[in-house]
This record gives sequence, structure tokens and C-alpha cells, in this order.
Amino acid sequence: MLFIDDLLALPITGLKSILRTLARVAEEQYTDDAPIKERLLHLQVELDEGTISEDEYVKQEAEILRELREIQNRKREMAGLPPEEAGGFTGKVKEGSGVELTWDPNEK
Amino acid sequence: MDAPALGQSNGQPQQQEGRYVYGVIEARDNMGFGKIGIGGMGENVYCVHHGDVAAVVSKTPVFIFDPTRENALAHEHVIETVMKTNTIIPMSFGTVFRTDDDIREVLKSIYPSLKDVLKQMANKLEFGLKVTWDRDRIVEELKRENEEIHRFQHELTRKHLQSTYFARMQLGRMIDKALSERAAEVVREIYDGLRTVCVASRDNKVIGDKMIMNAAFLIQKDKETEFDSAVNTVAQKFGDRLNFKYTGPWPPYNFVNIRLKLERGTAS
Repeated sequence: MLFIDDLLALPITGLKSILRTLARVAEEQYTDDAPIKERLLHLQVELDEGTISEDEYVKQEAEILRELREIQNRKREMAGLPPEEAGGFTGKVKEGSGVELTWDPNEK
Repeated sequence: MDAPALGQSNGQPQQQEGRYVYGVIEARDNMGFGKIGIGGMGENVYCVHHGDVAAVVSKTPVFIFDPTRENALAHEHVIETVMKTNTIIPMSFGTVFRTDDDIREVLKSIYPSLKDVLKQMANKLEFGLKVTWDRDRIVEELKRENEEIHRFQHELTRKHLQSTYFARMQLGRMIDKALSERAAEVVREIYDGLRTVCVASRDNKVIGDKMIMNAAFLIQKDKETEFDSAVNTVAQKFGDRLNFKYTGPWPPYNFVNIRLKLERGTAS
């Protein structure tokens, strides 16, 4: 493929930096749930457009959610927390909590 | 009847029971919204009050909700029902507190900002507008109509450069650039047709390569019909070249930001 040509043409130092980048990407993928959430969004669009069936959606959704949970647990693990907290929220809110508008009602 | 094995007897506080919160409304009276709670058990949806604001909640035996379609639809259905009679500030999906008292404490802590936002959001609705196009068709159009691309492609064919990697890369880049310019033009035109009828709008990230617009609009309730017809007018203008997906009314997901830094209680 084209990419291989590109890689071969690069000087050694360049190759090293690409390997580093690849390692970083792999690590990010290992703990980053954003792409997984995006896949879920894509899946919803596909269902809306009728590209996939409801059954197919449910199947893929389960798979995506499983991965999502895995990543979230991995993140917790790396942060030294137990796998999953089963408690609900308490009534204590920390400083900076509140509700705000994301638009300016005085505009126009 | 006694059914001790199920452990669901009334009055006895369940150890593992939480309160799923859908959102906050302005209400002094005790309101019920029916047995439509999330979780598939038909839990009652009721209000937890602090003064004249109230959280809309239902009981739940679990504290973690996966964002499955089923759960999301149940969450949405409650919000939809509440919206028939009240303005609601929606909570994020999956927010579960330990007890009614915990919820009251939160309402009390953020009461002033809740009141302010509820006042600003009264009689306003959110609508979503996703616009997609047939990318291949637009690319064909561009190849015909965009002079630069047309000429370049002609050159490629003439000089038999079609197959070289760099020539194709360059053509691809030109098409991508022209595509995003065209998309920006179209999106601007759509906004221009709707701006006067809405209170505010937000541009969200598009999903997939067919989508060119993923917007949310905040509408005054009494302008709903007017906004509907404005959307129709714009959609008609583009005919079948664009596909409009118009949804709502939604609670103001995109126009209110709930920042709750909460502490999780440990499982008892």
C-alpha cells in the first residue's frame, strides 16, 4: 500500500518518531472512550437512516457498551480506584456546582 | 400479601435502592407523572421538592445505567411526558442519588441558579436539525461545475497522470476543500433562513461524512409553527439535494449546562 512506500522513504529518525506516535496512539486507544462513544453515535445514525436493522443495532450496541465499560474500568484501575462503584450520589455538591445558560438572553 | 423472598415490601427501606433523577422543574404541588420510570419495572415517577422547585425522579434498584437505546428511550419518554405540562431542566442520563434527602440537599445548594435558569427557559423548546447530503453526487457536481477541479481532472486525463499517487492526492485535496466550502455555504444559507425565528442556535459536531449540519435551535413556544414552516421553506429550497432531519421538541439539552460536582456514596 501507499503508506508502506511512504514509510520506507523516510530517514531512520523519522521512523522512530512514527513508532513512538503509534505507541502513544495505542495507549490512548486503550484508555480513551471518546472514539467508542462516537461509534455509538454513528450506529444511531445508521439505525435512523435504515442502513442497519434494529436487531443489528442491539447486537452492535451491546458490543460497544461492553468495550466502553472495559475502558472505563481500565481508567479506574490506572487511577487506583476499585472497578465499579455501586453507590448513588450523595447530596453534597462541591464548589462550582450549578446551572447556567449556554447562550446570552440579551443577545439581539 | 407477604412476599418476603422478593424483598420488595413497602415501608421497609431497601438497602440497595437509589433515585434516578430526570430533571428539575418549577412546581410547588405534588405531581405524579405515571408508572413510566426507567429500568423496565414501571416505577412511579414523582417529585422531590425544595420550596418551589422539584426534581423529577423514580426509584431504582441499580445505580449504574448503561446508555442502551432502551434506557435512553425510557429516560426520554419521562422527559417528554413532563414537558407536556412543565419546563424541565434535563439532568444527564444516568444520574442516580441515594435518597430523596440527598436530592433535596442538592436542590437547596444550587437553588438560586436553578430558579434563574428555569425562568429564562420558561416557554422555550429545543429542536434539532441534522442535514445530510449525498456526498458522491455533490462530488460529481463539483467535478462538473468547479472550474479548478474540472480543469485539473482534464489535465490528468490528457497527460495520463490519472494513476500517479501525487496527482490523485492533489485532486482529492481539491475536492475535499471544495466540498467543505460548499457545505459551509449551504449551512450558512440554512441558518439565514431560520435565524429570525429562533432565540438561539448551536452548531454541534457532525457525525459521519454525509452530515454537513448538526444544529440545535432554541425556540419560543408560541413560535413553533412559524419555525416549522421556516424549516420547510429552507428544505424545499434545496429539494432532494439535501436531506433534512428535524426533531423535537426536546428539553434544552444544548442551551443549559448543569454542572454538578457530586460525591458518590459507597455501596452499603
